[in-house]
Amino acid sequence: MMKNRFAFAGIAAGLAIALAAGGVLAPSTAATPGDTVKLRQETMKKLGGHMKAIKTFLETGEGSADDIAKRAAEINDIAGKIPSLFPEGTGMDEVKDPKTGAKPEIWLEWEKFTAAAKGLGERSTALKTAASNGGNQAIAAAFEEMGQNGCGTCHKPYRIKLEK
Amino acid sequence: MPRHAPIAWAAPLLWAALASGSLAQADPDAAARGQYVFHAAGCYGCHTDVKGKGPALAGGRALDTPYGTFFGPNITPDPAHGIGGWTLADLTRALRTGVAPDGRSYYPAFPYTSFTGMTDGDIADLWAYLRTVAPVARANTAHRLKVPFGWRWLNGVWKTLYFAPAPFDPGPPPDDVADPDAWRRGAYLVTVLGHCGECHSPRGALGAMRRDYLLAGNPAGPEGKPVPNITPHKARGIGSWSAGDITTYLSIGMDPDGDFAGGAMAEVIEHTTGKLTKEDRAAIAAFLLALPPVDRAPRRPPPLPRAEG
Repeated sequence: MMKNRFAFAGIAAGLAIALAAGGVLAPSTAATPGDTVKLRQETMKKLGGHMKAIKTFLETGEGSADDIAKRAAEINDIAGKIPSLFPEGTGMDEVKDPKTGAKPEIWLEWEKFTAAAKGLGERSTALKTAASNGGNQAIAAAFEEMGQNGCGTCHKPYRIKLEK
Repeated sequence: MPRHAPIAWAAPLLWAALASGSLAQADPDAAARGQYVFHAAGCYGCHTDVKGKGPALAGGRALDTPYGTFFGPNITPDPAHGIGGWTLADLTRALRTGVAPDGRSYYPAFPYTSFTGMTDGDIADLWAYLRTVAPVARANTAHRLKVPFGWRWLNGVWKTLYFAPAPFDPGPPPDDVADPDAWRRGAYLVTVLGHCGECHSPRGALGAMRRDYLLAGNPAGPEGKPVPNITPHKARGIGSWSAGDITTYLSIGMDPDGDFAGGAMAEVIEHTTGKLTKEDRAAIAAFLLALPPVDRAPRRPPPLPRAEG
């Protein structure tokens, strides 16, 4: 529960920054490309945090199906914001600080890219449904489906993994 | 032209051979099982030009290595450019001993060094599946290798130094292994079908996998990137990963930090490990976690050539 509230507060804060910087409403204005990349990476880290929590739930039973449903809803929120987090001029060739692994293909295949983000949104909705109505097996299946075809469809073609 | 198989052969094989070049109608269960073997062995990745959006298994994928660039060949049943003229015996010889139907030796970029342990059943099933693939008349791309690796006859010499065909035999499982059958299955998936060691182990000067550093990482993997140590060493390897961390990673590509796999491993997850059963992924995890941890960072410079032979 605590964790969940914390993550939510984080997202709210991220959103506030994005709004303040014009990042969400008009991605091409005030925010510098570096700010956008930073916000993007923070947002993805939050997404990763939700994924981790769902995995932990499936493995150890820590948390609750309710909590998974909430996290799925937050993933859905994030998925909806992905296009606005990738304004032109924020790819790996343009922004060096912070470094980003966003490949130029994102903007060359913008429609495919946004369709992939939409696909993540749909799969997060399916996960939410599974968490609300189904048992652990349904959650596990929806989680795997979302991981493979929600996260993977963007990360594979559109991102290079940066050296840690 | 269909190739006529000796009468002595089993009926389904004869049928498959006669049907070569068109959709095979062999035992459908064998082909279905073979498709699973095909996924587990990761054939797709090297035999399909994904980047160039080439047709499945028609070859052309570039594999950059320290020895030059290899291009995966066409393994569709096309009689002229693919393996339409092959027999099951040809496939068996290729997988187990690295010898092509014309008698020449393959480069060890084709991981026969791992596939040599494949079971008869898996090879026959794989063959049945490969006959069902749509034939594609795509000519193979010649490898572009550095001197002296372009001298193909050297492969025969290389083999006498570094390779002996051997059936799968992982030996006894370590004492603390809870499920010896799962461990054995994991050993087969990792060291034979999945040929994980081919990228995750360092190679000596002449490209032979260092079995003394099996799965301990490779400073110069394909595409010039270091490949991680996947022995359970706490600091250097995946010793801090749980079995669940490993199976999640193999299933969807998410690591324990919530980050996602990239590069070549993302391909492996998409085409191979993500398509395995839950039980098989768990078997892989069980095997990896039971390996001796190796204290070796993959970024260390490659070892000096050893006098081998």
